[in-house]
Amino acid sequence: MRQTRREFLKSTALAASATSLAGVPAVARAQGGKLVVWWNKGYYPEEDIAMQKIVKEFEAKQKVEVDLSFTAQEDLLKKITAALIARRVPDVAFCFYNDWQVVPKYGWDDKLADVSDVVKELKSRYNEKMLEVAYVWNNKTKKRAYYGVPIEAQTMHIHYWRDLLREAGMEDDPAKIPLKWDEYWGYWKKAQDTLRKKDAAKYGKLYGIGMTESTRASDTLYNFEMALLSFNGELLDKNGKIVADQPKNKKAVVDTLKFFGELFTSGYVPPDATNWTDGDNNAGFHSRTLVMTPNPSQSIPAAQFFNKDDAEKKNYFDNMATIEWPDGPDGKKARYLSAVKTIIIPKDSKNQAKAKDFIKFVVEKDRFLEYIKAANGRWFPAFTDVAADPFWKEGHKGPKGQKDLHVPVATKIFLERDNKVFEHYKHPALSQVYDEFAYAKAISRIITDKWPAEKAADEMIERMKAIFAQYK
Amino acid sequence: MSRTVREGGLAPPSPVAVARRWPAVLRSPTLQGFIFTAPLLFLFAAFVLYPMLSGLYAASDPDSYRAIFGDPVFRQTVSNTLWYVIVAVNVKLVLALLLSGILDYPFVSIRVLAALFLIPWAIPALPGILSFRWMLNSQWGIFNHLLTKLGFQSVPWLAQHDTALAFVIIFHIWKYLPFWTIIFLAGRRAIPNELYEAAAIDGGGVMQNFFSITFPLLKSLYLICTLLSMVFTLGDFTVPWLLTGGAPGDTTHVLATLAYRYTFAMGRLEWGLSTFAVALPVTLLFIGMLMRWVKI
Amino acid sequence: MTMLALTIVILVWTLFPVYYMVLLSVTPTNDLFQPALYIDNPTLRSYVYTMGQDNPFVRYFWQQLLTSLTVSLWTMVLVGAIAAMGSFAMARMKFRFRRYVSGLTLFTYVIPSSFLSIPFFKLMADYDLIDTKLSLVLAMVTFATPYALWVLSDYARSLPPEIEEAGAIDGAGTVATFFYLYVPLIIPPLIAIGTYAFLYAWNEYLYALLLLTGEQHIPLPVAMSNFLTTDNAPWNLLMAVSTVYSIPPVVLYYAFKRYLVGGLVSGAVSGT
Repeated sequence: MRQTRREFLKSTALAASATSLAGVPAVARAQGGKLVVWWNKGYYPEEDIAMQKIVKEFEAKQKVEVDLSFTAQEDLLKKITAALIARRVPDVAFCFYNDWQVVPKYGWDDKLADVSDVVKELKSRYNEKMLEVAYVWNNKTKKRAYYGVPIEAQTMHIHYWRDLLREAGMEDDPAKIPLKWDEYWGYWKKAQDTLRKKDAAKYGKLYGIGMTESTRASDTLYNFEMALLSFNGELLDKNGKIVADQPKNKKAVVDTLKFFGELFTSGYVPPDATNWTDGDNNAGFHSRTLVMTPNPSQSIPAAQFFNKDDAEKKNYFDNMATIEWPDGPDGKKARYLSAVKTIIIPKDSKNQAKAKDFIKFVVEKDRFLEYIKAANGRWFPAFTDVAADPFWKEGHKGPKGQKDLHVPVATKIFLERDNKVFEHYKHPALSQVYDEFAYAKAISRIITDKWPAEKAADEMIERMKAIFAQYK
Repeated sequence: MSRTVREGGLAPPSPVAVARRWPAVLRSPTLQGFIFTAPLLFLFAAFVLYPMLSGLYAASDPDSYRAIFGDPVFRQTVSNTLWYVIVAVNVKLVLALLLSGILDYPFVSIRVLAALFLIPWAIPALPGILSFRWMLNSQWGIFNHLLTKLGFQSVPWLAQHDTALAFVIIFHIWKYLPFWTIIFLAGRRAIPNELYEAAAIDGGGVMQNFFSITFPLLKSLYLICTLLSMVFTLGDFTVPWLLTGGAPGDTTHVLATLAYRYTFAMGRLEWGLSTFAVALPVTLLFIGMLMRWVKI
Repeated sequence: MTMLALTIVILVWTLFPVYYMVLLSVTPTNDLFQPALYIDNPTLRSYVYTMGQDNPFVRYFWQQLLTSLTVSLWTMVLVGAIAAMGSFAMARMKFRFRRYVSGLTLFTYVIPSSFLSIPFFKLMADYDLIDTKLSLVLAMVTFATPYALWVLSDYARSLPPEIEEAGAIDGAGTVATFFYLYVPLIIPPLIAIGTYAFLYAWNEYLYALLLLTGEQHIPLPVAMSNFLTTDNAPWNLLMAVSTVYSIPPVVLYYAFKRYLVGGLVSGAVSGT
């Protein structure tokens, strides 16, 4: 009898322990009041540590428990998307993709909390140019408001190997690289030709230009829109209506597509560039199979700065440099796009007031300076008082007193050049155009399907119109 | 207590005690059947029914279909999916059937081979795909390195539609061939040896044996495997997503990756589910056939 | 001769990608981009970093490995238990509505699991199970059970009818028959489907990503995808993690190999 019962108990043991597992979190959750913060995993451990420190201070000051977790951007975007759709949300979310994939769309859908009050409070500190990125349309309330708090930005940089140019017997001083449109691109082509001729075995697979032209890399969007600006093209007017089909803009789109098509087919861009992810041009550059690559963040020099195999940081200070995007074909100085990263609060959050306090706490000058500096110049602050720190003007100092050839270039672009934020704030449909990689698809029509650029441009603009029409 | 040990069974507990514990009502076969299937039914009710119904509900909006059919990528995606499912599954299963024949030989060397052959199944998909991606890189991949060494042109494997899709299929075969080979191997071993012995007396050759004994007996297993594998492959997003991610130019999407992108990159859950609903008639047909054939 | 050639082809086909993964994991960073079939100066540095958690990418390596193990083992146990019970009912009992029960289980596969992920996520939130390993275990059990059930029922049906008869002679009830007579007989396929369930959970990425949050709580595959999404992935380190990640399933597989062949299908040939 006894034995049977024991057996019987054993049979239910599995089910029982499963229920016990279920019980624990439910109880833990029931205490409530916790502030749940999803933060983008930093590129360097120092960033995460700085953030953890901020959270500790906040907890101590506000007497509130914060549940902070770090996730890499692509995965975090999926989690935020799932959370917003399923309406099971964190209280604060900061993802590097918030600006173009979360704010416009979910602002439109009324799924984000209006944070205009926070922005207003901080207004005097802001670099005004970066603010509009979060000022998006809510289709329910039928008006615009701030649905995100901008904190930092990235822009377009071009990196190249100075030592490869030296080996090709070419001028490697960043101040002396020709900035005229055709000469500029021709320069890297020449480097490829020279190096391949010089040592076919070593440089057989070296390419002059690491231009990402892929449907799976956000770098492509950046490259395309930068070139489009160089050709004086505009896709949207200031109200978010498509003007890409106006003759002047249409021509610019065609020219831009032609530019990318020819660049690729001429054999100066690696054949894999149509399949690259955002990391592949970095990898190619680090491997020295690319002479130059455009990259919309300082991740490449920063990686070299921390290269464990290069204790003297020769690569960072001597062997590579960062320069600007070339002047347009019409001779005008390059105009830049900045991608401004924003923090959001989901509308379904039950702790909105505390969440806002948290954001304000994070961006306080000294605290935020410490956090953003931990990223080693990858980001430029959206706050003028933080940007006033000498680090942005001077960058790092070399072990032999060398000057930093990377960080100050970005600062110059942000402060002295003509630049604007990406235009998805004007209309969420543009962010869907990005999601679909409509530009890269048009480029691929030319490269793979051998379409003329005009036809590819038509298809792209038609597709844009179809996407915009879905938003009623 | 320990009276008879039968058929490898352990000593049963005191029968009288057990009989007394169960009142007559509980002896009803229907009730007992439900008790034993209760966890299954619970799983289904708690975790399958609701997601499925809410998914189908979300997919019932005709606007989503208009949107996805209007997406220029969609047609190519359907054709890729067909290629992927039909070619990958069938090539894989034919190979599995043939290989199971080789691995069935009782030599030591074959047994070692069989043991090694099954590694890809044990290796998780992610590392395998990473390894493939690195090998296929057109600049520093080993494939192109060897090709150029042998005097051939290097090929941008993952940067053109045909080769990229081909490698999605090849990876699928690499990874899952072992699993299905085991299944067929087991199937072969279940065929009574007397049948072959009888055939040997009649002087049947290898080929003849295969067509007159092995295949007829494995036929239904083969069909079940085909259907099951097709259903699994239709929903596979890991391999195409990690290997090509739809690139170049969004030409290598399959339904699963496209739906995944609609859902997670664009936040359009209803589009994602509709994309799959397009394949629903096919899966329903397959599942229906399986339900008829497979006795669970 | 053809046999030998065939053997070589099969071996190269099977092992080369694995070899290459291991090769990359012992390649020094500076040689990563020099393709070769072997390397002259292999280094275990990537493994040292991994084991010592001495790199931001692998800071929680052991914890993540443990999470993977916990989830996979629980899945294995639960799938085994549920499928054993279910198969007993399906194959050895006659009861009303049995056909419907079997139909329902296969129905799970009508929509692939990846498409159910968001509704599933929502459901788990309703049950207040988000961020618990249990939610992931339940998801894995849900999707691995139907196949396990099929395999077990199939096997069970091929067993001789004497089991119940023996039970009946001894007067043992159904529960006793199940535990003392039935379960011991289905050990081989049970091990096989346990392995299947373990591998299924060990491989899972999407559900793990959605249901668990934070570097300390995620299993290895999600952590590895974090590598890929940064734009400077240390590939040799990634491959070292890959290699370590591949070891438990391979060990499991070799430990239970003899059950796999017999266990994964059995009565299928005669059965239908």
